[in-house]
Amino acid sequence: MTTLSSIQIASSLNSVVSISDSTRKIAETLKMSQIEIYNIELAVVEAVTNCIKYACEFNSDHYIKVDYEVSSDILSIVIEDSGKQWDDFDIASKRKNPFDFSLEDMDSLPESGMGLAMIHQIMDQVSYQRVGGKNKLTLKKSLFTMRSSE
Amino acid sequence: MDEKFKNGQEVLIIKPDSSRIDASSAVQFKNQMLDIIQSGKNTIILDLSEVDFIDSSGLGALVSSRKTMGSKGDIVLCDVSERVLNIFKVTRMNKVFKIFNSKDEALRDM
Repeated sequence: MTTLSSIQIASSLNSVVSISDSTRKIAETLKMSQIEIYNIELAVVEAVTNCIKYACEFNSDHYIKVDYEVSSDILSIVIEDSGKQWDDFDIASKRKNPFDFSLEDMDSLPESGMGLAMIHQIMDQVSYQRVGGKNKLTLKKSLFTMRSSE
Repeated sequence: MDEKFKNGQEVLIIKPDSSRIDASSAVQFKNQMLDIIQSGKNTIILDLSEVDFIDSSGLGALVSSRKTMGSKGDIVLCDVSERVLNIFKVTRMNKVFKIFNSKDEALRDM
């Protein structure tokens, strides 16, 4: 396991851009396509934004830490926050895909609730644990699959 | 914002000057779009040439604007980078919004 980087921010939407920039720079070192780099950046931004909104409830006294690791061609990104427990992670993960909308029915177009669905769509594995009073969301992506699909 | 006329119809071209439409800016962006739509503008070209990142909140703001416009008019996009276009493909929103290579191409279609 090689640790690539670790970044910590206060729980504030204005701080997400620094995580976004760092994620992009780390992904660029892994020889991904521009689309894959964007996807990884997007998945991390969605996860961190969810932490700020729902776990930390916009309270900047909380922190969010993002660790990036690579092992055996798997990129692992662990997002830890000090906010409240995410009780319905499993239920939220199994909700109807918001992108299964009907093009004939404008009311069916999603305006919110897309973040977790995007994370699941982009990453190979998404798991959640509550450890020592902290939330830990782990995102995994096979680098081998990405290189093969280029 | 830039206003043009095509076939006697007013076309409003809006170019966000921020490089990101994300959770920190989406509410403001949506409110600005809704103000414009509610003022009666019903043909809008959104020039995304300066935008290099849109997340689900930004996408939600665009969808909300499109729904508010309803059948009264249309919102189309132009100059979308390959990176940003990707989020429209991942979410099937490229089927909801017409996306053109350039402002001129969008105007020609109207």
